[in-house]
Amino acid sequence: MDAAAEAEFSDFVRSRWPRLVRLGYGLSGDLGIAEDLAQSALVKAYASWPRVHRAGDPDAYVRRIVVNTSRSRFRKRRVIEQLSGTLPEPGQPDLTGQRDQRSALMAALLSLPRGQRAVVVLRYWMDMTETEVAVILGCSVGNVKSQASRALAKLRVSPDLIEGPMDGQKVEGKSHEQR
Amino acid sequence: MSSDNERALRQRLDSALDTITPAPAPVSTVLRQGRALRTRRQVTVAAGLAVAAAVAVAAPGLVHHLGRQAPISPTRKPVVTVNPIGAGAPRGLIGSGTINGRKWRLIADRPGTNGAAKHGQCFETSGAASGGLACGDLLTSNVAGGVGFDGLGNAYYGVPSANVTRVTVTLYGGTVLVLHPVQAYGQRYFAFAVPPSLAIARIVAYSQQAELSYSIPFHSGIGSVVSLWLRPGQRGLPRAARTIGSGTVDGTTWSEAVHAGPWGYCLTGELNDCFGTQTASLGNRITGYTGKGAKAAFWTTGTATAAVDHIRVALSGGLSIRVRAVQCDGPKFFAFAVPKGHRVVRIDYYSASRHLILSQTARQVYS
Repeated sequence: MDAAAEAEFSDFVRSRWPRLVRLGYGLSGDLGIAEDLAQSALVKAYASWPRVHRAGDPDAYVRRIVVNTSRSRFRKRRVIEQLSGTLPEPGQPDLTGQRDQRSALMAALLSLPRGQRAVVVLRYWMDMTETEVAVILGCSVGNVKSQASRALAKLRVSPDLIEGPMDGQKVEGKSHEQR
Repeated sequence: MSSDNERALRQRLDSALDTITPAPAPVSTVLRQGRALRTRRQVTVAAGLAVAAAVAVAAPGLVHHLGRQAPISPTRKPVVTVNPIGAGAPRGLIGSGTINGRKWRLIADRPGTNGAAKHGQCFETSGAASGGLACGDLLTSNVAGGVGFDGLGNAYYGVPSANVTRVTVTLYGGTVLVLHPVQAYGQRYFAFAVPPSLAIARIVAYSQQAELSYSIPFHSGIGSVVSLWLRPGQRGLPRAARTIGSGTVDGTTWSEAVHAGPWGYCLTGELNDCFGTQTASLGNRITGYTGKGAKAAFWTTGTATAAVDHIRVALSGGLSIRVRAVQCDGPKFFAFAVPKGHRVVRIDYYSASRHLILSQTARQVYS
């Protein structure tokens, strides 16, 4: 890669980084993992940059890597978790309540199977079409529709979201306990 | 779920995810790791040549596309070698060797990664400046393909069936490459590379005891396409070539031809496809189309049954094109060009007595 292409790629990294991390966070629920996902996707994009650039849609390429890496990460997750005898540092108090809302949503998202979670994040946060989601996930459009439908049905009655249901209405007969 | 709920979910996702504040972008780390990854792969990407091969498994209906690549100068005889892959080779390395002293490698990515579809796999070439990558649905169709790299050569890969122990590749000029399948990701592969201008005369797959199948690739001058495998002693189609369409559209002169032979049927021109079959009819259907942009002229090729004499293409704006179906060995083929600003509305297949055999809407044809 020559200097001009490298400068262009550096700009690409800076401009895409926040959104890729947020995509990774939506998929993993962990900011550290999200940054790892985004970084490894961009590293792979660098290694194949001439081809990725020529293909004309580098964003689609890195998004696909983030999603696929996130999916494969779950297969390995069991062996990389370690128990610690010491408590982590206490977090900062959240005066705005924003973090609580985010936690509730993430808890609900993480309760979904990872395929459904990916569909929700890509479809409803990234505003991708069903076809675009199908291409990234390597499945049919019909599968995306059914996954989205099931995911939304689960989120609608998720205990984590009951305090603030998506449509502003309480769902009858469900526990309000946080898991 | 109502659209209100979908909107509410969007809002909640926005408020949850958009408030995430990541660390600053690790630009220098990404660049450093990216360089290291590229060095490790020694990946080179170039004008792509996609070719197809299947060892010991004939794949009827297999269609592959040829890229455009400048052939290297044939003024001296190329020296092509393939190295055996040792036990300590990097994971995914399925082939390596030299072309005129310049090293090449072909690396199979882990299936389903690096941009491949769920059941697909990508293959990357390396060796020169900037390289190539080809991805396909290799795992489910048991076919293979190839990758062009840097004008130096075209790398070919294959997935042999379980009883294949050895593959020989005979090049025009007499060089014979002997390949032994290597294991990666629970699958066996073979790979080799040749200059684009150097045609492959024959590929043979052997078991421990005997020859299993052979293939005579189609050579278009920019690379070889392996699309049909024959049993030992089985004769392929006799060689023949016919122009199936030509003309000028929007100032561009075009011509499409079909070449029959032991490779099956291969098209050259605007659409470079091969049909790895010896059947006498490929049906009434559109086999491919290509264009230079959404609002530019585009070309379509198709096949027709023996009863079809000509095809009438209804275009938007009340235009229509009459195209003759041209027989080459058994099947009939046709090709037509659509000027920019027009689209196909309907395609009708007619017999010589102008009897309508089949009518297809654009949705049926191009969906």
